Amino acid sequence: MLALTVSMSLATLTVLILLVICIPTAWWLAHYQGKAKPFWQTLITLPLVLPPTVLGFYLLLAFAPNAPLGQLWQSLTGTNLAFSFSGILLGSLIYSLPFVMQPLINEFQQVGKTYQQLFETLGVPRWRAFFLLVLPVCRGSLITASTLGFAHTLGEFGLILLIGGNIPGETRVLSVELYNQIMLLDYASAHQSALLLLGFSAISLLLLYWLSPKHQILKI
Amino acid sequence: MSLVIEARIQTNHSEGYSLTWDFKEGNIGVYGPTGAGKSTLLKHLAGLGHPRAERNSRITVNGKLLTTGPSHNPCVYVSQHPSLVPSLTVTQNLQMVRRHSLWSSRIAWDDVIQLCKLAPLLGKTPAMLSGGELQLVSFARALLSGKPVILLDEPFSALDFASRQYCLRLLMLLCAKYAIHFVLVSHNLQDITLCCGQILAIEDQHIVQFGIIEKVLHDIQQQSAEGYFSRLVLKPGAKAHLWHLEGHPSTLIQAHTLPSTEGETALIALLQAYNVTVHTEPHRALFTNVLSCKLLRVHHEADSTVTLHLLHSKQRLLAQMSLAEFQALNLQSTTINQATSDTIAGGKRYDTPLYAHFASL
Repeated sequence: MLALTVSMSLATLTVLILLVICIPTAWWLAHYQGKAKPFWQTLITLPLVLPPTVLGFYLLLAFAPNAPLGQLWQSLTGTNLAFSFSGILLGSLIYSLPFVMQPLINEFQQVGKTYQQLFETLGVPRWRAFFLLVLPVCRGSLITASTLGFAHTLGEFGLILLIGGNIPGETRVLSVELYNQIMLLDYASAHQSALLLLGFSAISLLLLYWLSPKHQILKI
Repeated sequence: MSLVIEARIQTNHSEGYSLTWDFKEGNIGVYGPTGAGKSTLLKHLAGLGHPRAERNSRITVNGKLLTTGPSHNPCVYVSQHPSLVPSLTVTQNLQMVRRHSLWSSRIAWDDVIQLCKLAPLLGKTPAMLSGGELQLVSFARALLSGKPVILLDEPFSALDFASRQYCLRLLMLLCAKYAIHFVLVSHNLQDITLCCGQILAIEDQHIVQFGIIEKVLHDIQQQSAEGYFSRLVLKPGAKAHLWHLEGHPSTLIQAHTLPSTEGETALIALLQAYNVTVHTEPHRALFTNVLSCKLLRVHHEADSTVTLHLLHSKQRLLAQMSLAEFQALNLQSTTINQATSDTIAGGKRYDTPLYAHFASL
């Protein structure tokens, strides 16, 4: 159950932090028409196609105490970034970024811009229009982004193992716990862990489809 | 207080537009063929153009330069393709704007619902509405935004003829009663003529005509395929016999009651030139509506017809007839020096009083 707690904490924190990062970034990218747009899009989408081990390897090097990022972290917190919960959280933020960012960019490009212009021309100030009117209109993509980000983080394995290791209560998430149980031939516990992961994935997808806008009416 | 908008608008596709609009002459109609740049002009005026173009544009309202975003711009843009929030009812869609707009509404909620005839639609969601109903809700939402200038881009294109005529009449009423000014984009010159005091004609991203209707309508008609028609403001019984105008818009004549703050009733009527016959006697024809006129000009068309430019109560009335019919009128004319008057065609002055007859149904 300790592994489940770590997994849930990691997935929840990842989604919350990513939403804070991705909503303004996706809005900016949806409006940005400069020449560097393909570069930014590539950078954001890269974790989607990159093997987790490649990303994990580079992150492990960056998190090392003698690397600039690792040094900076150590000077700020006094702890190591590698093989810590903060390390796997940072890795998850990068690894799950495209799953949260992409649905938001698409929605803001197709729907968000239209509604933002509409509400602004109707006299609603820019920020009020965005937070009170446009975001509720785009809630479908917010639900999609959150669910995908959560489910994807919950299922992470290779990246976590590389940068977090296998420390109980710290970096041992449910998928790593399942790996351990299989290695120990403890199939009864492995079944439990696998069923939990299967259940969470299935429930996430069910929620994704169930909470799509056609099933609900939101009052503003 | 009169509202004056001066704009120097830079667009991405043309050298731009320079215009000065004074709404004391009434609503403004923007007329032009498809792709002429009408919608682009309106979007830029509302601050919704491309950011780079917006930065290079300069719009002043009553001499005050607009530097802030679209929400502070006094113009609201209403597209012909309404965007309502699909999951909200009509009431929620309208209330949302009313509640959050920076501008205080000029019309009470109940008045908007009544004038736009929205009562049966209030509980419905956009998916349950027809295209015309969506346009009505979108129009009502613009009214509730509280902005003083509403830019209407083909706003009633999905409405049936009677509803469209009602809405055009509504524009005049709202302008007179609530001081809301409208800019109406339309492919239909008659729609514009019915409810606007000024016309701006655009062709190929250029402004080709702008002025009050009495001055520029004929020039625009010569370039359009809609045929000749006249716009007259008539006071029934004053100097003519007018019996069948009010409440009978038809294919021959469209007549609207003009809103007036002084309580007097007047009609604004569009008369197709080919439906007006001209005689030298007041009761020659069976038609019940007769206007006394003076002949200003005779314009010979290419197809052996003539267009008579008549003057009634300082307003121009056009009548079309065959050349043979015109000659049968046997009008007495005196040849004069053309330079003495700009109302003379071919150096002739026609002194015979004429009577224009037309039917209302």
